[in-house]
Amino acid sequence: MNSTHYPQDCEHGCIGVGLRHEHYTQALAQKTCSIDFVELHAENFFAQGGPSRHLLEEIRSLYPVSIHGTSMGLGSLAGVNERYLNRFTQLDNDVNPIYISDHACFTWGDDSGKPLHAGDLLPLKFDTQTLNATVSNIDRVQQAIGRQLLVENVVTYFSFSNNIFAEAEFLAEVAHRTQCGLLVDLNNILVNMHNQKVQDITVNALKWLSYLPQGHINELHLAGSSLPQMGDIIIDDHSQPVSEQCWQLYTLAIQHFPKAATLIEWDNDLPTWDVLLKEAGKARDIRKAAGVSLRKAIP
Amino acid sequence: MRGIQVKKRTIQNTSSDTNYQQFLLNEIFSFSQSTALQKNALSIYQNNLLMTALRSLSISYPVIESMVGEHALYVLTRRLLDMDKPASGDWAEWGDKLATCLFNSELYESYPYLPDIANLEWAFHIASRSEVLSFDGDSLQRLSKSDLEDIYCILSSSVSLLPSAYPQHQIWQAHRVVDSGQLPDKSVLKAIMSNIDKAEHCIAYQHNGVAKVEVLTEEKLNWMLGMQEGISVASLLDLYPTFNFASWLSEAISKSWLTRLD
Repeated sequence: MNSTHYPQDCEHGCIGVGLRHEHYTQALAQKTCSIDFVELHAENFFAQGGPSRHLLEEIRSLYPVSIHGTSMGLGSLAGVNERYLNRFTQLDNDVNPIYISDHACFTWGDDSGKPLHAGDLLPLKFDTQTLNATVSNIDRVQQAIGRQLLVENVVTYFSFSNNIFAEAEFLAEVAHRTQCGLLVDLNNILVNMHNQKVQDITVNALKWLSYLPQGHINELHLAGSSLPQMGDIIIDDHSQPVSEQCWQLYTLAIQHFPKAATLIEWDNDLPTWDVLLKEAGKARDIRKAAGVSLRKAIP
Repeated sequence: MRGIQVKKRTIQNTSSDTNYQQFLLNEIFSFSQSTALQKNALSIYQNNLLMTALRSLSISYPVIESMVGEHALYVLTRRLLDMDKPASGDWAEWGDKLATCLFNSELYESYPYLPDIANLEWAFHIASRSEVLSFDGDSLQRLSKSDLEDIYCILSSSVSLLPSAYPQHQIWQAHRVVDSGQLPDKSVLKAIMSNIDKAEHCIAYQHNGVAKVEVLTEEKLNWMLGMQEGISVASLLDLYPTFNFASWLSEAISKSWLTRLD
């Protein structure tokens, strides 16, 4: 971690927002800002030249940056594509982000001898074969970038019938074996439980979190999704304010993971920059309130 | 999770268990309804793929989207996914075969210039993402020290040469200047269409970090196509004896078309 880019007080729960194309102008015009960092999607800055490289430099000059990959597919049995990894590593070298992350899903396959990319975060079977592949892929990525990678849980629209591990157990084992960090998307947990018709979702989401090794949780993602479609299924589209249920889980989660950074993730139907910052402000208020209550609890 | 009661949508064990991932990828890209997978779940992934691909094309091809409309672009997206699947993990790199897709489509008969506009848009897109090396000024010394037969002009990787039998630059500009979702002024389009057989060749390139497109004369186009084919300066001058090489060289350097002389 490069301390020159590490926000003050960030070790105890810094707050950031996902910075997307629609907000670049406002974010760059901001003289002072209430957030500690911004998250950029890695692939948006893979171009070797042109305006995106200038933009990246401008953003870096104003904000600490977290890089979030969306295509690595860390659980791919086909392995992580070498060209993709090279570009991801190059971006990491260029930016030296405060965090760098991708997903516990698969994306890579084969199309008649050529690489095939899913273009989506596809579900893993939580079995030994996939565990070994995921560990191997993460080891390879961490060797390439020379630092800890954070691995995020994803929304899935079905589960495999012959899982050996539960998702949280799988992630805990991955973290244990690779020493990677974990990026826990609280909304993804809630969406999965809603779609799986779990009862007492908040209680069970807390149980889910309790399986994770506390010291490995570096970041929490908060988001909101559109109302259920296709029957009662919620599609994870990150197009809404953080839901009340997600704020509720967040309030409880930060007591388990007080040092984890928080990121407001809003990818579609974006609000104004100010609304996004207000969501970040709300997260900060909750953290402050939780800090007070924790101190009060200590005799 | 032990202790959490869930009703799962599950994939039953199948003969493809040894590589369940490839099986799922094949099912998604086939856009069929599998018997082995929950219909809803597969539909969600198939729809996600289509929507992401459509969004990617609308970013890379804003003029084509404006010209054919979102519904036609949706149909083209579906065809393009059959023809050319994403392979790099970066959606900005997918979609270069849209011109071929348009050429093979029913749109081509009525709008035969669409593939050229798609080629132009893709070239502009590539130019905006290319790394442009500064011109190697020292390589100019080759002009005084070497025989022209041994000198080759190396174009920047951002440069694309775009021959066309249609007024592609005018069509592109007319649709480009209007806000998203709006159509160009009818009188402008009428003027272009009344002269639809006017050939306009273009060059797309990056200069000072910005992608540009401009019209090329046929003479310059042929000269630069010859360079791309690896023809030496001397041979090009034999082919095009009236071409003003000195003037072109100055322009090519100032506009970042050239990387070096080899």
